[in-house]
Amino acid sequence: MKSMEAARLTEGAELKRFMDGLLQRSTAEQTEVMVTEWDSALTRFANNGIHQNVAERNAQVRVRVVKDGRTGVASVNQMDERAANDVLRRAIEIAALQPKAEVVPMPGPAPSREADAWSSATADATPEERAEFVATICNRAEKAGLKAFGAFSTSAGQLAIGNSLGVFHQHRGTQATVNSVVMGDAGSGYADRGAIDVAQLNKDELAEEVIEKAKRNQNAQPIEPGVYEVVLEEYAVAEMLEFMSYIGFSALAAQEERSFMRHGERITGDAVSIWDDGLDPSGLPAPFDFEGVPKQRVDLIKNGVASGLVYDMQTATREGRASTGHGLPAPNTDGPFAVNLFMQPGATPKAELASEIKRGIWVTRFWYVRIVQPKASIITGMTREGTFLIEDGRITRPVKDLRFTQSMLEALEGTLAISRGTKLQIGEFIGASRVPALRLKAFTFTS
Amino acid sequence: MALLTAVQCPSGIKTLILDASQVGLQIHESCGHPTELDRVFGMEAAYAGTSFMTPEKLNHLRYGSPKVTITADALTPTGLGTFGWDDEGIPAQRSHLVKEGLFVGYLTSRETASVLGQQSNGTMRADGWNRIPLIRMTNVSLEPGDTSLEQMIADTKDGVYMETNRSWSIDDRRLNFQFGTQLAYEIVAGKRGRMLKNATYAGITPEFWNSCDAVAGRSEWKVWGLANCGKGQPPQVAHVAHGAAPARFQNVKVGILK
Repeated sequence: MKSMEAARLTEGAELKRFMDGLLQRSTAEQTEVMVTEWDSALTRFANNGIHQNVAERNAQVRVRVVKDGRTGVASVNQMDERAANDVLRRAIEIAALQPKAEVVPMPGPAPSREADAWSSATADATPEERAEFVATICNRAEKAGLKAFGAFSTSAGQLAIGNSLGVFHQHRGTQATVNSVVMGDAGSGYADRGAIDVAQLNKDELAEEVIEKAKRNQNAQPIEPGVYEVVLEEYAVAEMLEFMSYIGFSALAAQEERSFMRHGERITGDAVSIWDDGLDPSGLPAPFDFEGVPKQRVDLIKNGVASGLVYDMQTATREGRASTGHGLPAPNTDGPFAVNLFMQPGATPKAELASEIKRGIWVTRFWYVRIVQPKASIITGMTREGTFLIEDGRITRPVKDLRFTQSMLEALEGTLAISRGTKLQIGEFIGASRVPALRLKAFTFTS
Repeated sequence: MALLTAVQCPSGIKTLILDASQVGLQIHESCGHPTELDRVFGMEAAYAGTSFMTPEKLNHLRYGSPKVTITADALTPTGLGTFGWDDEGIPAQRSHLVKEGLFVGYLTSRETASVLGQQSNGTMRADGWNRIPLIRMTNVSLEPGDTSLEQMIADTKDGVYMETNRSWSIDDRRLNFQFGTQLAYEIVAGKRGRMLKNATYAGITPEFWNSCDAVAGRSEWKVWGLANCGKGQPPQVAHVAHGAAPARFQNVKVGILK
C-alpha cells in the first residue's frame, strides 16, 4: 500500500520557464535566480516506538540582483508569476537601500557534468516503509532488553540556478538517512547510515551494529584523562573532517589569515590525503554550486601536504583566478565551503586497527564539537555512545565519555593506520564525507 | 586589537568570575536544556541527547549553592522568550527550576507534565507553520543576588574574569562542559590585571553551580536574548532569553588548551 504519492518536484521545463521569465522581467544590471525545492519526510522514534511522523513539501525562490554597484537579495516560497514579480521587486528595492560595496560577480555559462544522485525508491518511500525499518530496530532492541531511539528520513529535492549572463543548471537528488541510539540501563550505542538509494540501507545490519555497541557499552567506568593512542571510527573522522573544512579549507579563511592551511607545507602525516569532489558518485554528488559554477575536484591535503583551497566567485576574483565551484547561496559571509569531502583509505581492515595498540581508546563518535583555536586547528568535544579501553590489541571494557581538546593537524600527524573500507557520512545540513576509520598515535583527553 | 598582544590565559584551578552574558549561556546549556522534560523522557535521545536531571532527582538534587535560584518566566519584559500562550494554548507563566540551589521543576508540555502528575507550565513552541511544537526554553534566568562585580573582584585573590562567549561544548547529558570567551582578565589580590586571550573554563554542572558563592544584584542583571537555540529532527530554531548578572565560582579549571 502506498499511503503517499511519490515526491512532487516541478518538472525541468516548467522550472526553466519560470526562471527565464523572472530573469527577462528584471530591470537590474545582473540578476540571479535560485530555486530549491524539496519533498521530505521523517519518522522519529523513542523508547521503542514511533512518536513523530512528519512530511513537508516546500520551495524557495531566491533572487539576487546587482544594480548601480549595489546588491539586493530576497526570497519567497511560492512559484508563480505574481510571487516572482514580488520577490524581484523586493530584491531591487533592497539593493537600492544598500551602500555601494564590493559586488560578488556572477559567473558566465559553463557546462556542468551530469551527476546521478537520484533514486526512485527513495523518492517514492512511504511512511509504512520507514515504519517497517524502524520496527526492525525497535523489536530487536526490545528483545535484547534495550530501548531504541532515532530518526529515519527520506527526501527528494532539486536545485536550479540561472542568471542573466546565460547560466542555467538543474540538479535533482535524493537522500535517505537513519540514525539510532540504543540504550540499556547503564549505557548506549550508536549507528547511522546514509545513501542516495534507500534500498542500500540495511536495517538488520544497522540494528545489529547499534545493539551490539549498546550491549558492550554498559557500566562504563571512568578513566584518567590524558594523551592516548586512539582508534576513531568513521563517525568521528567525518566530524573532524567537516570541522577542518569549516575552519581551514576555505579560501576566505586563508585570505583572512585564520586558516591552519600553509600551502606547500607538510601539515599532517604523509598517509593523509583529503580532497573535495562534487562529482564522485560514491559521495553525494552535486555538479554545480549555489552560484551556478560547475564543481571542480580540489586536492586539499595530498600526502600530508597542504595542496589547495576551495573558492567561490568572491574569493576567486580577489586572487584573479577561477572559482572551484564551492560557493554558498547569497548573501554569504561564510565564504566557500568544501561539502563533498573524501579521505584516502588505507590497507588495514577496520577490525585490526586496534591490534597493535598496547593501551588506547576506541572512539565511536564525537559530540558537540566546537572550535577552540582555528589557526591551530584546536577543537574540543565529547566522545559519545561507545568509548572503550584498548589493552594489548583488544577492546577490554567501556569507559565513561571523555572530553577532548585537540589540534586536528597534530592528531593527523600521528596517523599510524587507516582502514581499508570507507563510510559515507551524510552531513546534518549540507554535503557528505566519505571517510575511513583511523588509528592515531596521540589524542588528548582533558576531562 | 589589544587581544593580539594579550598573554595566554594561564592553566590551573582558579576563582572564576563570569560576565552576565556568559552566565546567560551557562544557564542555557547547563540548566535550560537539561530541564526540558521531553528530553528527560528520551524524545531527543538520538539527537541532542538526554539529561542528568532525571525525575527521581526532582526536589532532591542539590543543583547549586543557596545563591542559585533559576526561573523560567515567559512573561519577562523584553525577553526573546516572552509570549502570551504556548503552541498548546497554555498561558505564559513563571515557574522555578532551581530554588536556592534545590532542583524543583522542569520545563513541561501537556503530555510530559501529566506523566509527573503535573499541569503544563506552557513551554511548547514550534518555529513555524511546518514544524511540530517541542518543549523550548522561555526566559530562563538566574535570579539576581546581593553583591556587585566590583565587590566580587575586590574579594578575589587569584582568579580570572571572563566575558562574551566564543566557544561552547557540553555533553549529551549536560554534565561535562567546556566554554571559551572572547576576553578575559587576570584578577590578582582583588584587582583586575592583564588582559588574557584564548580563555577557557571547564566543569561538571552541579559541581560548578554548587561552587557559586556570589551573584551580582539587580542593577547589573540584564536579559540576554539568544536567537539560535536548536532542537529537534527536523531541526527547529527558537528564540529564548536568559536574565543574568555577573557571578563568581570557586575552584574552577581554567585555561584548557590541550
